[in-house]
Amino acid sequence: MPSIPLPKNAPRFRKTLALLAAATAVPLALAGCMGNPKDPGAAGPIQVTSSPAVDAHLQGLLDTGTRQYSAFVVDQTDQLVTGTRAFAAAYAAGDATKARGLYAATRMHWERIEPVAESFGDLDPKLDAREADLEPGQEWTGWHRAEKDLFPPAGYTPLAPAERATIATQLVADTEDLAQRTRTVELSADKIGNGAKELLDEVATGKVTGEEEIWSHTDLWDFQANVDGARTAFESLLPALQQKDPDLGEALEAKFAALQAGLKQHSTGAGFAYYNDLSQDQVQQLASLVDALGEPLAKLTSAVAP
Amino acid sequence: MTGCPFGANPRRAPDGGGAPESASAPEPARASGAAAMPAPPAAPGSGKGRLSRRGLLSLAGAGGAGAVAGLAAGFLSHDAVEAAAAPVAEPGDIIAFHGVRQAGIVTPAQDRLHIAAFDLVTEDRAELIRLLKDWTDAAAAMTQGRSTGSSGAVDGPYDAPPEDTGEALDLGADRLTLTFGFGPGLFEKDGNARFGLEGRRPDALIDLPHFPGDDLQPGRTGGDIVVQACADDPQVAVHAIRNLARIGFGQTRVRWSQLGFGRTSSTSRSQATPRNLFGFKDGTNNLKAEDTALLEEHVWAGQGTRPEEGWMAGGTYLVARRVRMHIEIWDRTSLREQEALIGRTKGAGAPLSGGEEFTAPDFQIQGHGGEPLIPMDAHVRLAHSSQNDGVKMLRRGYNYADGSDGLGHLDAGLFFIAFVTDPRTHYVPMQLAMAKEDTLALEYLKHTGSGLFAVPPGIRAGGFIGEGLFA
Ligand code: HEM
Repeated sequence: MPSIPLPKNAPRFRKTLALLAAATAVPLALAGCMGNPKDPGAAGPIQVTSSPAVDAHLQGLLDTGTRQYSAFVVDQTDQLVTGTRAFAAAYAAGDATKARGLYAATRMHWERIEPVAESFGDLDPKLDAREADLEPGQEWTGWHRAEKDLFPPAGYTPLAPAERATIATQLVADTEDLAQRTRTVELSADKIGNGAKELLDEVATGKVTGEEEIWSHTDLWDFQANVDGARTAFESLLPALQQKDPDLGEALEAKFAALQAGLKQHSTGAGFAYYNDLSQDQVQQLASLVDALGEPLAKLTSAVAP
Repeated sequence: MTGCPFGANPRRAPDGGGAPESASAPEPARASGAAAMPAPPAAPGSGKGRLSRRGLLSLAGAGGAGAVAGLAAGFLSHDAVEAAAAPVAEPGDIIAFHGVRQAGIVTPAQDRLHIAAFDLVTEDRAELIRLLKDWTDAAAAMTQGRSTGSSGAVDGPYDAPPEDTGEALDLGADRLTLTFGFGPGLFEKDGNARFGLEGRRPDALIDLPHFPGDDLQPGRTGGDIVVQACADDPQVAVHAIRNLARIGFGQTRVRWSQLGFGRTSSTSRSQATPRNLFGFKDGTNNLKAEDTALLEEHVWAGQGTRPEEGWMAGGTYLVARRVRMHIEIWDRTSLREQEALIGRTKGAGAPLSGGEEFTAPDFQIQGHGGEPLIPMDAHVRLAHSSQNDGVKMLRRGYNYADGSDGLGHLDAGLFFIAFVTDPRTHYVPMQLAMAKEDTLALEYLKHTGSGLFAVPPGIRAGGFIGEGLFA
């Protein structure tokens, strides 16, 4: 198995977020005026959502969160475009070792913003269809087409150089198209909240089962990226959530931390354990951490949406 | 809904708004305008005329609608409205949840089973207690035919997942019972006590020994907490387990679960004897609800010998065994051989020593050639109390069929459940004898799953499952 490095910039998106928060700090400062959001007594009529002042304040928090999350999407798509160009170049040039090394780490940028990417119904299948997703006669392009070629199963006939070049070119073009389109996508608190839930659903149905990366077995990279994306979405909404349902906010922080700790047990210097090296027991443990987060996360949208 | 006396707090209605039997109106429409409409006659789906969960949950709404209609008509008192909306519920449809003993043990065996064993994924005592309280609330609601949570399946916020999953909305309680038990794993893990329960594991809650021929699959064996859901409608039983599993995420995960599609036991003299998948009547000589003295002796647990296990007084032990039947082999066996293996006739279920179904077997009586009429290796002889130091058990098993085995055979058999006062005297010796001598067990059965659970006494109103263990 080739070793696949973790993206050097894994923590970077978090920093981006912090910077953005600082840049748009007015409503956050306002939150400070309200006192400790976890102590409604000190903060006054926080629970009373009908007060116009509180409504306006909450809306401010949600708007800030939405801006932060939009910036995150932009940042991730930028990195995705850069990474995909490098991957595609190596793949098209026949440098399989380099391409394999870039595969999982680059895909993490995609997996972090998957619900946004999936909202473009035509691009998602072109970029991310697994072989099992295809309908008869459908042309197979995108990441998993390259995956099978780079991590070939026994008896597989490799693609010819020209075919590889076509796949690579298409991959870059579709990714650039995606990045372009995300610039104009209208985000809102409920979309972000639902996106967080969808990311975790992805983990529960595809990553924790090892179905996403059936040849490279790099499912835990995707897993981590989905969790990153869900967590970022959650954190964008957290200031508002702390006003409306601090208990839920606390529960979610704890469950995210527990899941992250569970995942960390499988991180190696170069990245993560391969899915096919995990024991049944380890997979079960991860699955129950995902379920533990999934139930409360499903309540996020209705808790914050105005 | 304005003007409705209960409108502000729908959750209170089922408890505070009168006994469940007094509600039956169908779900009022979401739009408040519909509240003034008189309740239509029973909805099409409620052909059985039973109380639906949705009706129950919406009792406030229904009462409100009725009251408004009554006021509009100008002559109906509130009581009269309630009487008009009065139930068509079958009286035996609801089994009490609270009581001295847990339900689902001597309750006349319902037709369907969904049983699940859960592993705890938390090590926090407070979280465990909270889970048991949440489960108590949900179980109390569902067994009375209500939905879980305060907003149920369709009355919660539109942008949130509903609290209740909804598939039992138009169904009644269907005699649902939920019976909870604690496995050895609740008390200790890797030799260390869990949840501060040092010394509280009852001595009778042993680790079952390996029985000859056992082929136990880890994924069908053990578990920290078991929940037995029995009901006359399979969807009601599945709904109950599903919602408890959902409430438990974060604290528990399902370790195994099993559906049983038909009872293989009668636990009351009021019931006819059903048949197992070998085609024989099963439950004929079972302990029955009416045998109160025998239940005291063979089923209900006592104080134990140490004060720390006193919490089990009034409880019992649940033995679960998933017993796969080699039904294809069985079906190629002559009727003579089948009856000899069981020790009873296949048609009437009478003992081979003669008489009717409920005639006591005579193990001495011999036929031609001095052979006993009930063979020495017959199942009912080996399982009879006269062969087992006088012990009896309350059997409450279910037939199962779980798809096929990939070799062209059905994966079918009997999910054996028994309740006993102490498995050390009332289960292990009998199972050991049968595993060695019972030709039925040796040639036609394979045990593929197993569990032993301490079933605490009943839950008092306001209390929670297993409360005594945490006192
Ligand atoms: C697939 C497995 C089994 C089948 C098909 C089966 C079948 C039967 C049948 C047909 C009867 C006679 C009717 C009756 O009295 O209820 C019976 C009785 C009984 N069985 Fe089983 N049985 C099975 C497993 C077990 C096991 C595992 C045990 C306990 C270790 C057990 C204990 C008993 C007892 C105590 C009786 C009553 C005997 C008497 O007092 O007459 N059975 N069983």
